[in-house]
Amino acid sequence: MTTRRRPPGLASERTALAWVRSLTGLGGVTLLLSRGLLMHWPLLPATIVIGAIGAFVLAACVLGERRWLALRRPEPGPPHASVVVAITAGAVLTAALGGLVLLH
Amino acid sequence: MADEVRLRQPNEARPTDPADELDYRFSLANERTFLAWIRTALALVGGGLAVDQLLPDLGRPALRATIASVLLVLGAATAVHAAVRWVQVERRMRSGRDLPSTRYPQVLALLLALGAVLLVLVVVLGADR
Repeated sequence: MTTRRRPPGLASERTALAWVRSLTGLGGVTLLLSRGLLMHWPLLPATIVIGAIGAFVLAACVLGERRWLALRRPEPGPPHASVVVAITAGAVLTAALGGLVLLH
Repeated sequence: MADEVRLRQPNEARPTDPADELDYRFSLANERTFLAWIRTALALVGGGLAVDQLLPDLGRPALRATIASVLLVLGAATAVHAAVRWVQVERRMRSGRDLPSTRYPQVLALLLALGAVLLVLVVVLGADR
């Protein structure tokens, strides 16, 4: 496969925007989840769970920002496997907690 | 074997042979596809939560719980599929092979279409109550 030596262009920009949309979606679903948890659980346990989810979303945003910076390099490489695992785990976690909300 | 190709991590040195490096635009396209799948997964999870939390008058409680559960399970499955697919495609591209085929989009679309028909029935039949 041939190598193309050129600065990051529209492809990097689109990828960065895709990260923003994905992390915004994660935040939106988290807010929806928080509403369900607060409605069905006592305040303290719900707050603890919401805090844990919030910390996770924050961590995902930090990883996303690091990825954004990496995309500005002349030839950005693929994301670190931990970034992919983290954001995937986040989506699975929110789905699992959504099931928890559903059961209560 | 080609399946043993390992992805280069950002902190690793670049390949000495330029021919071993993948065009970054292909890798970025794969990354965007992964993120698009993640957004789809989040939309499914959000939809499941919305059906459960925001539509208390939608049909019978058991039916509502079923719809919400299916959406949540589909969301989790889609997120896992996103990561697996990203790794598969990245490896295939780096080894110069054809991209792997998948039936997941068809299955997902079929299930969502069936779910939409079910929801239409619930809404139409529920309008008379």
